[in-house]
This record gives sequence, structure tokens and C-alpha cells, in this order.
Amino acid sequence: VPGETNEGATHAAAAADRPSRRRSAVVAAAVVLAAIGGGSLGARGVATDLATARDLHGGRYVGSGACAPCHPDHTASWRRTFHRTMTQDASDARAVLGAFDGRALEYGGITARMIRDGERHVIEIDGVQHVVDRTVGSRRDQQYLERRDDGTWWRLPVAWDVEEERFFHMNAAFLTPDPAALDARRVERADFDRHVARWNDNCVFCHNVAADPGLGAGGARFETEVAELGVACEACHGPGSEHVARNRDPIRRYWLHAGEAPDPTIVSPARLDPSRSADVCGRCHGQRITDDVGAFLAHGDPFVPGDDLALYSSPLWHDTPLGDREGAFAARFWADGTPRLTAYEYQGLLQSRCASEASLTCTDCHSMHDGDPRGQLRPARTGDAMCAGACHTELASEAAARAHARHDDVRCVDCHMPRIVYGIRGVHRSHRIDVPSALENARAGRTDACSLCHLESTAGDGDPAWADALAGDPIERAVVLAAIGRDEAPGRRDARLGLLVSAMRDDPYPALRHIAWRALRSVASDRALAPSLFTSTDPAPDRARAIDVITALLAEPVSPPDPALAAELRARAAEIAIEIGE
Amino acid sequence: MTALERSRRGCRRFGWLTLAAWATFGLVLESLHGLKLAEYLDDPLARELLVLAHAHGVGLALVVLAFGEAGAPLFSEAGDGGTSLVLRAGALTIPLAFGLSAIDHPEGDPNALIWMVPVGAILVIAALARTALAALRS
Repeated sequence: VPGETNEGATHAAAAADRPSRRRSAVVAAAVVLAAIGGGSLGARGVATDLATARDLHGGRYVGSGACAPCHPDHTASWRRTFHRTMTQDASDARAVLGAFDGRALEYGGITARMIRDGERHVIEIDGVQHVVDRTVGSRRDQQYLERRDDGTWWRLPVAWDVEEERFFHMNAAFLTPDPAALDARRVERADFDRHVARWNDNCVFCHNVAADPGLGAGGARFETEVAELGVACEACHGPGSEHVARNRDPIRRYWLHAGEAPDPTIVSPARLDPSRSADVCGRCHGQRITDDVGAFLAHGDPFVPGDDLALYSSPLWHDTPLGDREGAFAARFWADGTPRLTAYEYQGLLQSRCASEASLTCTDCHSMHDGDPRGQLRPARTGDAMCAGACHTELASEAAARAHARHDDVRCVDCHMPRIVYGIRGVHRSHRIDVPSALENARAGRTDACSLCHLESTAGDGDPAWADALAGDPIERAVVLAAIGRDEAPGRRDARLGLLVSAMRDDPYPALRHIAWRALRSVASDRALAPSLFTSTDPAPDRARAIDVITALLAEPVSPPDPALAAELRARAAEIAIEIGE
Repeated sequence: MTALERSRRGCRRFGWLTLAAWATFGLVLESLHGLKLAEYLDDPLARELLVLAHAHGVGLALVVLAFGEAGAPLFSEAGDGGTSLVLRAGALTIPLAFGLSAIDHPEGDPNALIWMVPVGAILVIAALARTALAALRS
């Protein structure tokens, strides 16, 4: 029967095929066992490796380009930040924000002209060309560095205001008064170059990764090197060469993916204890001083993320001496020791009970990889969620928060982190988180949170708070002038405009005149006044003319303070120059 | 039905079925591109893995079809000693491992299912090696 024959043949063939299938199964089992054995050995090696602590000092820096292939999301989120663009090579046309289109900036009779020479950006001052080699900053302003033949970079005296889209003279960024000959348009070149500063031993430390000024013996020459321009991955995570090399091993990577174990070849600030985590930020956001400046200038800052910052340097405080100079830094602090300049946020945090009693650290509110690059607040911690969502849960409900504040429309930070800190041409929030007390603050000579809104109320000296716009020292004036411009400041609009106009005309500090102008534009935001209508570094007659134009455009009452009162208040103003960080 | 016929039938069924499935998957990927779906476009690694799944799925389906028509006859009537099964197992494992490893993957790496790709690759290579030997012996 044909069918029977076929079936028989099939069975015979199947029987003949069985040993072959068995061989296949044995080979497959051997392959699987070999893979499992190899994997186990590899895993044991990885476990030992991960349990071995590392000293990252002396590690080689590899640059953010080496991080990107494995950390594309973190790289992308970092690339959005202003940290990345803190220092850039000007040969990259995208780096230069300023309009080098031939426009000029005159200051005290000296003219700077910003031009292009082929691909190069040039600032021409008194006929001498200064080629922009690097840029510093990109958020509020951008400063420009020139490279000289001796290997040093120098900050040029003209910078770009990013928001206002115009150049400004650097004298308008620092808290020093006008030079004597400004109104006569005969400013000395030394005054024009007052804030021309050497990059190699100043800005280099905080605006780059692993800066080594390389100052030679006897201070002869700088051989400055940085691992990467700008604030990049390894500024916060430490040198990454071993991390990159070790994690080429896929078993190691997947071991780390699967578990919670930290990788000892790199620093994750999120895994550090709060103090060490704050040290990573405090290294730059808290001005410091070291006992061995020579070593820093010769070899750079030995700090590596994860270190105790105090091993190498100490934060500047109100009473920190500079050599035998007592009180050298006192003007940078309110009388109660609260910092009143930016780049002292670390000191503010250390002074806060939130940090000393509740382990608050920078990354509780800020994130380097999330949120709006302006401020880099964690998205989940914006608004009052920053406080009430984290520790002060008893204030989470709106009713409880209102009852606590006794105000309907204030945020936690308005009272506990008031805007009493001067930064370049702006006023910012204090990072000393504390309880506002008008009397205590007045006794300590510190503008308090309440007065920033209640400008009409009298402070400890019996004057209304707004009087400090004329009578205070430069930072008190800056703080109050900025407060006058904010919406929460009540009071007659004509009086607020009048105070601001008065400061724009008569304050001897160009930085404060600029803050007053910004505040005026804010008060009169319905008028859309162009920033270029007023230049704070212009001579007094020019400023007066500009103010006439502005008041005409305002077309509303502007009521400056009584001249006699204004003169009396100005006579009480403390005209001190406040060094910032140079 | 002989072992050879069973092997060829299995290869045809597997090959055409998976070819249709992975080709359709390719159409889905093109649609995601066309519709500019952010979840797809914003994750380059996942996108690469899904494309690899599509490409390997289609390519290996063709290999299985080719094996059924031109590879299986190289073995004796007694059968191919499991070569067809090993090939199909590999041809299924590789694209699935690529595709599934795109789901909820850690930053910079596919998820752990990617480890199944080399397993599948060993299966495919073993099957191809056995077929090559059979071709040399024939």
C-alpha cells in the first residue's frame, strides 16, 4: 500500500533524525551553560569592582563628549543650561550673542566700536583692535575675553546685555561710582579699564571644568589649562576617565541598571549627603578664600566633588580677614552677616535653619537637569510647593498658608527669601532662609522682607522704607529701587516713578541708575519704553535729556521727592565701593 | 509527509507570517515618523532598536524562506537535525529582543532583554553553519 510505505519511510527518517537533534540540543545546552558561566564570572568581578572605593583625585577629565553616548538625556538637559555656555570659544559663531555690526558705545569720551573682521569679532577702542577670543556668560549678560601674547586672557570693558540687546560698559555692572571726569567726557583710560580683569586667576576657577591657572614659579607666566570650557558634566560629577573605561563592560552597566548600588568611579551629587552635595555647588556659588593661594594659582583647586570643601578653602564671611586687613569683606554682607551679593548662596544656605536643622541642600530646590534653565528650579518644587510640599506640610493647604502669612497674596519666598542680594545689574533673592523680623533686621542694618512691599512704613531709623532708595549704601539703594519697580510695592504710581527718575538722574553709581531705569520700565510696562532710551553710563546732561524724553513719553504725573528732602537723604548715603569678586 | 517536507512547510509558514508581521511593523514605524509622534522621535535609542527589530525581522524572515526552499533540501530525507527549528527560534528571538528592549529602557542602554539578541544570533549562526556544512557535503 503506497500510504503505508510512505508512513514507514517517514517514521524511519524521523528515527534517523533523532540523534542529530540530540546533538543539537547538547550543543545548545553547552552554549547556554558557557554563557551562564561566563556571565557569573563577569558579575563576580563587577561586584568586587563596585565595592571598591575610589579616590578620584588625579583622575583624568574626558569632557562632556565622552558622557553623551551613554547619558543622552542628561547631556541634552545640561546643554539647555547656562552652565554649558558659561565660557565659550568665540570662534563658534553661535557663542557670540552681541551684535558686532559696527555699532559704537561711548563712555566718558572714549568710544568702543564692535565690528566683524571676517570671522573674528573685534572690539575697537581708541583705534586699537581687541579680538574676542572667548565669551563668558549668556543669560543676563555676556562678557568678552581677549587673548594676549603672554598666554593670558583679559576681560574687555564692554559687555552685551542679553535682555536689552545692547552693549554696556562694565563700569555699570559693579558697585563703584562714576569717575570724576565722566560729565566732562574726559574719563582716564584707567577708569575706562577699571574692570578689565585677568581671566587666568579670576573667572577661570568657577566658569570652567578643572581649571589650572598654571602660574609659573615667581609668577612669571600663566600656562592656564581647563579640562573643558564652561561648567560641564565633570564639574559636578568629577573626572570621568575611569567611569568611561569601566562602563564599556556591558555586564557592569547592566548590573548598575538593575541595582541601586552607586558607581564608585563617578560622583552623583544626588547620592552625597546634604553637606557634601552643597559643597559641590558651594565651590562656585559661595565665594571662598584659601590659606595657600600660591598652590591654587600654580596647580588649580584640588577639590573634587564628594570632598569636604573645607579641606581646601573657607567661605568668606562678614568678619573674614584678608591677610592683616580686618573686615575686608564686611561690605559684602549685611550687618547681621547675611550675604548681600550673588555667588554667596552657599553662605546663605549654611546660615539657614533649614540646612542646619533639616539637612536642606541646594538640590532639594534646584536641579541641573530639569526645569527652566533660568533658576533651574525643580519643576515639582516651584511656587510654594518648594516649602509646603517638602517639609512644611502643615502649610500645604491654601487656608493654612494664608493664616500663617497673614497675607492673601504672598509666596513663602517673598518673606523668607527676600530680594536683598545684588548681582550684576540686578537684585536677587537671599539664600539665607529665615524668619522676617522688621525690628531685628532694622537693628542689624538689613533691609527686611516686609519693607520691600511696605515701602511707606517706617523702618528702625524712623524714615519710610523708600528713603533708602536715596539714603542707603549702594546695595540698600539697589534693593529698594528694585522693590519700587515690582508690582507688589503699593503706593502712588507718580511717587514711585518720581523716586526712580530721581535715582536715574542723580545716583552716583551707574549700576543703580540702571536698576532704577529697569524698575521704571517695569512700573510703566504699559508704555513699552525701549531700553535704549536711557544709558546709565552717560554723562549727567545726557541723562537729564533722556529723562525729559522718557517723562514726555510717560504722559502721566511723575512726582520726585521734595528736593530738600532728597538732598538731605542723599547726604546720608554711604558712598562706598563694594568689591564683588575680583 | 517527510521530515524535509515538514521542515519546508514550517519554514514557509514561519517565513511568510513573520515577513508580513515585520513589514507591517515597518509601516507602523513610518507612520510614527509621518505623524511626528514625539514619544517615538524624542527617544533616538528606542527608535534605533525598533528599526533594528523591523530590519532584522524582515531580513531573517527572508532567510527562513530561503532556507525552506534552498537550505532544507541540502539535508538528508531523514531531516535537518533541528536546524530549521534552531533557525526559526533565532529568527524570532533577534527582532523580538530588539523591539522589546526598547520598552522602558535605562538611559543610554536598551533594557535587559537585549541580552537575548546574542543568544538569537548564536542560534541563527549555528543553523547557517550547519546548512553550509550540509551544502559542502551535498
